[in-house]
Amino acid sequence: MNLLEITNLHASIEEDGTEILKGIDLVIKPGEVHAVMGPNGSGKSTLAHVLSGRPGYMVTQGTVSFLGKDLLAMKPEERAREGVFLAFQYPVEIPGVSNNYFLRTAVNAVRRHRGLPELDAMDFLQLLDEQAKLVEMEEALLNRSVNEGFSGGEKKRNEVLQMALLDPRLAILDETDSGLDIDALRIAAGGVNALRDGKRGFLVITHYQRLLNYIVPDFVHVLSDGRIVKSGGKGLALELEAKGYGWIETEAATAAR
Amino acid sequence: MARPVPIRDGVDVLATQAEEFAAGLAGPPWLTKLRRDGVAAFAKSGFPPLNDEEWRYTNLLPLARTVFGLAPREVTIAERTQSVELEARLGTLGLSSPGPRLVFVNGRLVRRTAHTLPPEILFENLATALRLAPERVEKLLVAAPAAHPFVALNNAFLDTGALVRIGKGLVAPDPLVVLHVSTSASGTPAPLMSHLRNLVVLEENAQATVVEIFVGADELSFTNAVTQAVLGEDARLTHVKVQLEGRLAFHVGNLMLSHAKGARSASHVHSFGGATVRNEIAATLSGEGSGTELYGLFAAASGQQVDCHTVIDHAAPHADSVELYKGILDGNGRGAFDGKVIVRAGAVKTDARQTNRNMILSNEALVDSKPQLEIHNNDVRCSHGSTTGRIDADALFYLRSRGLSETAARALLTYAFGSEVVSKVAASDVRALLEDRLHAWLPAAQGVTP
Repeated sequence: MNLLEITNLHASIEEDGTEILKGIDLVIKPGEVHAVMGPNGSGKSTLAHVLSGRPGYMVTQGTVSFLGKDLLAMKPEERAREGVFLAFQYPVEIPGVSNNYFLRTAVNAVRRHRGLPELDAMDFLQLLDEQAKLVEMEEALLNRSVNEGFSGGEKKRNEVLQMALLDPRLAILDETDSGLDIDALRIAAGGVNALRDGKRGFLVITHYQRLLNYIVPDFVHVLSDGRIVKSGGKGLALELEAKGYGWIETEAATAAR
Repeated sequence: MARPVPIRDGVDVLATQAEEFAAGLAGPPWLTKLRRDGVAAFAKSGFPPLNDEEWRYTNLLPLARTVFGLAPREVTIAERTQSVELEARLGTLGLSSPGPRLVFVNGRLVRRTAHTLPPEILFENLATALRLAPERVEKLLVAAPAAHPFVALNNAFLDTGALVRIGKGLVAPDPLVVLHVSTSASGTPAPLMSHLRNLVVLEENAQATVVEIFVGADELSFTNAVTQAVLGEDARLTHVKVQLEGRLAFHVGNLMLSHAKGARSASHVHSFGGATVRNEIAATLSGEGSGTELYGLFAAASGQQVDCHTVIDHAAPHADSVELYKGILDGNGRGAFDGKVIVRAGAVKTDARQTNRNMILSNEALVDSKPQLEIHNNDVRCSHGSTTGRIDADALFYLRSRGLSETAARALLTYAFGSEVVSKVAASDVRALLEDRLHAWLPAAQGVTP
């Protein structure tokens, strides 16, 4: 069964009705890593938001099926429990909620849904210890408030840590590389690669090819004006890096005529 | 604006009750006069109306129109039983155990935990002091600002409360816990009122933590508490007030803090209970280099109105103050923060920072915020800020995207908002109680157990 099947997806901004996604078709099979690239304003982040159920968008046409279930009918928390994970471009700071407590609450919400026994504080700490090593996360950060005062790199590592703990079937990475230096990028990407197990699917959203040197995709799609205008293998990313997005947009415009 | 016309309802009844009450008590002439003047002052002022600027958020009409009685002198077994049950339910029973504790039920002392304190540390019933050595508390009692209608009323019924006195250079080892229980368990025809008077005197270099807790069942009651705290040179006082009275209770509390040179106080107000609640604090920094920190967390759900009024009076040079008050309003709950910082002429190098933040959880909830700075001096550093908002939508989505239900996420974010104030309380068992009470107050907090 396909992991994710997006068919003719149209979505608008709820507030003013502006259409951002204008007919997306995309299929992700288990174990595949798909990269979605595109210039600013092409709809990349909107796609990530709509798939994760962020309020503020309206799906006007099309369907999204996740492991055969209607993803769009689910609340954000149901999507998370079913196994969709979004690594945020801008992880939110939550003063007053300890990272440790937050992570355990999230893990247990997901475990409950999957019929697994909840982890007590001790068992959870053991799991946390193991997974924190994956992204070289210091213990001090686990006891601080969620993302509060974290550097850009620490926030993204915290996202990958959450991904590892929640064990999703599909991980969506929304511009995980933005604002990261090479070292931080290497650590975050290393964490993601460790989670590639041949079953989990990835949707990697990025503006730059750089991230794809570390997380090597099976497929690359180019998004332009709310549509996927070109798909290919990992070589397409290199071509984009060399030529920029202009040629694809011209090509797409020509084809549309 | 029309000239405020005081609320007259109930005033005559209260005056008669106070006269009868005072007639049954012995005492030196000054005490009799203090009570009698209190009756007269209250009879003259009445209850402040809504168009009195200082009382514009506090609707006292329901209070004025309810007749309250005084509990009979003898405490009944039913009252004792219910006070223990209430304490068990609210988690205050074992607090600071086996530390020193005075328990008052409807204004009468019913229990004191056995504890050994050095003779220079006094922790007893004010009524005892009034009987044995009234001259030792005269100066302080007479100094309370009787222009305040509820202080005048408190004077009129002056008798019981906690008396704390810490001798020079001494440190009270454990928090001194004063518990006030309101209950109608004695079966009196009218709901009951109590007018408690607490005195806290810290001599030079003395240190103490005083915890005042108010509990009650969900029935009509009226508590009018006045606490006067006097800090000698370099003294340190931490005062914690925990308001856990029932959902029909009226509560007016006044805390006055005065500071000699180098004295420092911290006040923590945590107000979760009551129908109409007013928490007032007046901190006077008249000693050079003195300081105060005022922290407050008030929560009002449907049917609750919780107002917090603070005045910080910088009357000496080099004094500093920090104030952080947070309000959480749900249902049709009402709240107000009215905080004034006065910097007197000559109070140079004053450092005053005031912050009020409020969180609104429903469309019907309402909060008024009125931060005020009154500066009569240059060479000071003062700041104030006030924000009122809803739960952050980004934070809410972030938590939901990690599998937390919307209800659990909202409760967690609300808890986090309030916990900043709770975390300022140093005494760990008091802090644990507050965390527990905040959690219990949260709307639909199931599944969230920080």
